[in-house]
Amino acid sequence: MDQRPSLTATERLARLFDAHHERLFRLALRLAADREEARDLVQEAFLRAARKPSAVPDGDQSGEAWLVRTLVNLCKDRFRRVSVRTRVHSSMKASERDPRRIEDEAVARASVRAALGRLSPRRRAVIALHEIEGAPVREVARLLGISEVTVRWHLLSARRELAGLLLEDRR
Amino acid sequence: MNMNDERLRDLLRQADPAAGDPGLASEEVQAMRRAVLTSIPEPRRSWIPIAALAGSVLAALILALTLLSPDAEGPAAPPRQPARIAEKPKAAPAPVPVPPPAPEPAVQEPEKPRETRALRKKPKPEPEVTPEPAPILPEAETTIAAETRQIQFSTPGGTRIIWVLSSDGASH
Repeated sequence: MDQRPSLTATERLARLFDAHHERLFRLALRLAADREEARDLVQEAFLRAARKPSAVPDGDQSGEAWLVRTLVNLCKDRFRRVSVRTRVHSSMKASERDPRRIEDEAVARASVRAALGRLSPRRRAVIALHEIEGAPVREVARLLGISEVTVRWHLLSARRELAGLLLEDRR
Repeated sequence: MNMNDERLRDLLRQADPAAGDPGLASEEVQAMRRAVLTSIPEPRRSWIPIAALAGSVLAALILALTLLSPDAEGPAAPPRQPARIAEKPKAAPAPVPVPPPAPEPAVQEPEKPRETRALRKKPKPEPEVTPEPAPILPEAETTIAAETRQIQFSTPGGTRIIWVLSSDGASH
């Protein structure tokens, strides 16, 4: 997308929103506990861009990366506020509400989501972008503003952590 | 049970929360878009250029008023003062009489006949008006008359010298 200097802040933000809100919402769904939280995260990320348009770098890709980083930072803030134990407990409780209607696959899904919820937001973002969305390491590094080495290290640690959590859950 | 990366990836993709989600509804998207776009703050105007412009206009106005007002000749008046003082004695008709001999005679100025000003001070004998350099000048007195001018000297020994300078150049 061509970012000309004549664009006003409103036009620029409108373009950014139209181009990235879907992708950002999908990522937020993978990072947040539920759909409502994901929607709030996306809106808050765009609101931050609106409150300080000069902070958003020019260019479509740079703007997208800025939004992804903001989203992950917002997840970090929420992660700090809500303890991991509470999150996992509520998630597991949700799966136990109606055990008859939950199939094995759904149980497994809930277990994976609960395990994902125990990862740190950045690590979760790396897993979501690379393992679920299939983004290459270089793209993940660009979006999160970290080095490829750091992405690989997060991937290795997250896989170990997730495997341990899922095996523990199956016992 | 061992869990390799492929198996973990499969599990993660099966458990992907976004897989079965239809995404944001168009109403949700529109509401969010409106909320975001309306929260952009108004660009604040910088008041510095406006204030600078107003200040310079004000300064220019004050300067123009000062220069154009009739009182503006005030500052130029002091340089003319000595000239007027010098011209006045010609108009004054009567010369000031020589003051009687006194230990400290007062000097009267021609343009202010009533006003008497003592120019001599004993503890600080400095001549106020010395038309010529005189070696004996511990005290000096100048009397400016209408057409004549008196210069009085007092020597330390008590001798009094009075010079009367008339306007035609003669001295006595």
